[in-house]
Amino acid sequence: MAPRRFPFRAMGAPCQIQLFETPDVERIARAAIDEVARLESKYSRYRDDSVTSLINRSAGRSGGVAVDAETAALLDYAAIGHRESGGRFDVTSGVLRRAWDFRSGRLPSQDEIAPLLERVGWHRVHWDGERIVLPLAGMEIDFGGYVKEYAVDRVAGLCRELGARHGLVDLGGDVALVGPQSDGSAWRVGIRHPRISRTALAWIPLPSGAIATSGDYERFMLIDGRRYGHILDPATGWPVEGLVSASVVAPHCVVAGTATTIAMLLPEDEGRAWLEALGLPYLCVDRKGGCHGNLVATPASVGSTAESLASQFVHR
Amino acid sequence: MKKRDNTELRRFEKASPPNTREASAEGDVWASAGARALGALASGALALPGLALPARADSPVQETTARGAFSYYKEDNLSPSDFDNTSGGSRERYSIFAYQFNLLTPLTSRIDASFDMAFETMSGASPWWVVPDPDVATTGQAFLQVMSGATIFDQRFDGQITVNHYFDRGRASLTGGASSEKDYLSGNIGGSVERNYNDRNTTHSLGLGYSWDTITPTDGATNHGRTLPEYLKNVFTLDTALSQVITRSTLFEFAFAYKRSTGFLSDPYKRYLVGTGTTLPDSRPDTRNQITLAGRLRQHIAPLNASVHLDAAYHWDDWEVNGFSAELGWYQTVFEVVRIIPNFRYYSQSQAFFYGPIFQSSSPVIGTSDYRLSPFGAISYGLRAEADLVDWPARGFDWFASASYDRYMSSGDYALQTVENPNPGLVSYNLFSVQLGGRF
Amino acid sequence: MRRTMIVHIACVMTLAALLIGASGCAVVKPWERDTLARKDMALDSDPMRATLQNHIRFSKEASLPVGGGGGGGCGCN
Repeated sequence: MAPRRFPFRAMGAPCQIQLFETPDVERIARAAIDEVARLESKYSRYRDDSVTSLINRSAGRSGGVAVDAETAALLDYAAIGHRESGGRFDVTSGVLRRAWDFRSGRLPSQDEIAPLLERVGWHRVHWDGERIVLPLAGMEIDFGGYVKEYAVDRVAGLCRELGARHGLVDLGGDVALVGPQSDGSAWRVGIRHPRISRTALAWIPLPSGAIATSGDYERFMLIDGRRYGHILDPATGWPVEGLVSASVVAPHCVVAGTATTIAMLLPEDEGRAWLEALGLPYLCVDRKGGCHGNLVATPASVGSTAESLASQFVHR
Repeated sequence: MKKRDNTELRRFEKASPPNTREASAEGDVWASAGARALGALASGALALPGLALPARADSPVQETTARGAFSYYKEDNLSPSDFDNTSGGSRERYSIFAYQFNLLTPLTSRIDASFDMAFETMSGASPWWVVPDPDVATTGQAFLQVMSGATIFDQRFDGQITVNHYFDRGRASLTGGASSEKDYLSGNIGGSVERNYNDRNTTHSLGLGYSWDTITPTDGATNHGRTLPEYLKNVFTLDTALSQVITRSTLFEFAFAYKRSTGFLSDPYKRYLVGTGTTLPDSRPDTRNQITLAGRLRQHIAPLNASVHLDAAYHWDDWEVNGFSAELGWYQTVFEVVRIIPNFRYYSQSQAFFYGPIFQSSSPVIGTSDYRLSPFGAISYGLRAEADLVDWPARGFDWFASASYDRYMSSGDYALQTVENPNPGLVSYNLFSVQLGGRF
Repeated sequence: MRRTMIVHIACVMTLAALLIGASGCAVVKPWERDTLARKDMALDSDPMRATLQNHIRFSKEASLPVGGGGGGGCGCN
């Protein structure tokens, strides 16, 4: 028996809810999609009435802004991510994007980056559990790095609360299970190929929990044969020369997503060491096209040898 | 919302701006960072609203499943050399047609229920009492079995309902049922709970049950001199089990069961010989306490695409019956959806303290010649084939089918201890069974 | 007799506890349960057959079968 698919678009990515047929499956899917929409409008930096915009407009004012419980928990989580990654996971690093226009095909100058770096750094933020203060005008908070994965977890939990037992929530490739397939077997989740569009790198059997993937393929510039990805090091303001793609399986998508984000923010070797020591199943691809990890996966194509994979990569 | 104490976090944030990081290949630093990070991130995640609810480990079924089975049970005729042909009776032993039916269906998002029904028709003669073999010198056999005449056709009907309520970490169930035969009526109720721990690696369950039986013996039965027309028996059971995941492909369960029976526990259709010519009605103590300890192992052998099941059990009771059983099953998967399952079982028991094939002249107050309370061993082997069909003939229909044959043989020679005079009524049988089930 | 019984029980339970403890149980995470979820790894892969077998054993042998669940007896001889 095949599950019902409910595709929709949210958070700038193609999304879907898959649920096995029950009498109220449509009601559950509707509630799930509404919850994603709620989180998107609450934390989108493109909406004037979002919490993100409210916080960012207060930058430079000493009083800061009081936040609700959900936002407080997200900010606490941001603090943990910052601490565990030695400062690389930083929700204030979003301002650096102003220097990088990936459609321009132009590298920024240090003069453009330096003033932005002044405004980057979670350590500059005052967060006491109730009020958040961004002391310098021009500072910004961006939840974009993990709110999508949080939404995945929250919506999966919501489906279970509403009685669903077998299904999955997929927001742009970040997936959490509501439960295994109706016959108890695992779902097969595809990991996007970092260099070939609309192609899977591997298929992961997922009997429970969640999987998240970060890759440098989403936004990038190719200048003089060199690839400049959108993942920026908050210390330098420049793209990280790290892994090309990382996927992690964890009980919660938000943890998996933070793990992949941190892995992508590190140089290749450190990223691999981080993933290995984390203790979760993972798969990563380095800049030469080598695949590493302990995730049980099925190669998407039979002819996908290390050599053929490597040839698809741009060498430095 | 109370103020959180974030001084520890804030101290770190103020103290170390990120650009003091070295870009060196300090994989070690990041390795140790990674090892520590998971715990912090995971607990941070649990603080996020809506995420602290753990995934329901067990859940009720979402679809209705029905299954039926037909079995034919045929005991070997009593061998002529074991049969006392001077007292009438028939050598033809039990032959039973059994029909089973089960329906499992969801009721709410947390509750499901199962309905079990069984119906049997049986015919055949049964052992009555044991006499000495006059030809013991030539046959080497000390005793012969006196059989009843072939019984009239008898039927048994059995129904059971169980309701399961699922929680985040386990399940609570209530069950009730009844069973009836021409001369026998039984009712039972019970409850059980199950809880899992350690990421579902450990499961603990506990069950209690109570049943009450009334026996109204019919023709051929012996009046035990009781004033009541009905004979009553009450049974209390307790069982508990602990199952533990050992590795990704190994599971072990340890189980304990206790049963206390009180009331009329004798067999109203049996007698035993005292001295040379008198028989007395089968008479057993009116209480019995039994304990069984069992271990079950499930081991998957990936290179062979097969799994091994090993079950062993020890039994003790205050009738002095000690029992041991060990069962081995090999589950071989072929063609992905078919399983071929050969199995083998060994069983051995000691006798009840009040058992004897015959008794001397001084008649004891209690006694039995029933082969089931005699010392013996049993060997059984069998072969089963199962198949799962998914989405056939159309999407949404799943089927299960199986067929099996088992052979069971009991004998004094198979027992662990030496049995000098095995009961001549020890039984052997063939069992054929087919099952068909579907989910929709 | 009762004391021997108690000694027997104590020995077997200790053995089982040691077996479980000493085997170095891995903690298998939920996403690693693919093998354990197989039908042929279930403790009770065929409950209907188990019911029938327990019923036969209860009728033909003197031991208490374990894993019976609720259910009355019968007058089988």
